[in-house]
Amino acid sequence: MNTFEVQQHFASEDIVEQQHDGAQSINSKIVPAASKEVGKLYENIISQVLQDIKPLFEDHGVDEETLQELQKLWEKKLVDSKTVPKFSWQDDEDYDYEEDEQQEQNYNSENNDASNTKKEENELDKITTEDEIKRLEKIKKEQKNLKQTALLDNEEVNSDLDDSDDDYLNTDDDIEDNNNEENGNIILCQYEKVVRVKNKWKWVLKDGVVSCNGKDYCFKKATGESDW
Amino acid sequence: MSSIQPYYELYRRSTIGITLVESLDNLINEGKIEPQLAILILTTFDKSINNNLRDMNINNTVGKQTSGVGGTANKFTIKGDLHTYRFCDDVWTLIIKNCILKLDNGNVSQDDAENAVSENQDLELKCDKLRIVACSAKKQGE
Repeated sequence: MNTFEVQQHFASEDIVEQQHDGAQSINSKIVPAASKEVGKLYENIISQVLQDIKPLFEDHGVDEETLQELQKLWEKKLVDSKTVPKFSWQDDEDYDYEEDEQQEQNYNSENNDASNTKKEENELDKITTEDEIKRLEKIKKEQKNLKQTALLDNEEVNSDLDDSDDDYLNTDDDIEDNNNEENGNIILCQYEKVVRVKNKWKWVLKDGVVSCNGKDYCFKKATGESDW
Repeated sequence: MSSIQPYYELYRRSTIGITLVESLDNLINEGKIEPQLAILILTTFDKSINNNLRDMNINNTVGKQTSGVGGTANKFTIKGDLHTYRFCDDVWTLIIKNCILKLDNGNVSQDDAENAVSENQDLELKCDKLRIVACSAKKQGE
């Protein structure tokens, strides 16, 4: 495992540096506020759902142990997905981007001659974070590919409004996406306005959940612009 | 349960939704709950996530240092090349290539606010391909 990570690290070093040229890097020391928000949101949802389904369990004659098991499973899977930095039910020491630090340690032990100047440390952060993200993405994809569930399959993209036209929606793009990017970068949200002038599109979105580069975010409002 | 579905199901595809579905699947496979109960639970989840998103009071300008910057709510901006668009049944699906997501002040957390003055406070995410699935904001709750 370690050797794999290190190899991947060296392989991607150059590219990463290029990619970050002029772009804002993700500093592994900082837990983005946006990630904290999504953690809070998830926690609220979990506690609310669990509370609301309690009577349902009683109605169906299912004991409370199962409810607790559901909670444990759900929370564990969320933690394992690593898309959110940390939940309040986790210990501070227990988690909090520990995998980044671990990787950093690996790197340091492999490279004793690594300089300790601040600049280089920052670069290190960029690199390890990028590596981590790539690794997580890969793992996530693999997991999700294995775990396509019956429940999810039934709830494809547009099923919330009318299922009758689902076949029509399964174009090549969808199939391609299902294979490659099904659990890649996605925003699930609601639109307020979509405007097109010639090939220029603008849209106003709200209440979104974002999955990007293996991390989750959420937004209240978003605007987008692009050319077709 | 009424036949109308007042809450969108699209968020079931989010991380929190997927993990719930998987958990329910596990319990069903172990024979601990009925599929019917799982469906009711998912409906509860739809309601909860829709309401929470609607009511959430996001304010990413948490730190003292940043309280003066720009003002209030977090705002995502999405830029990129629109590769595919599709509108069907009131649902937009957009596929954007070479996408840049920017979240104003999204990088600043409470703990780091003091140290983050010199950092770029905006969170910027880059990805080759991004998919947006959007339901109408108006229909909900009808």
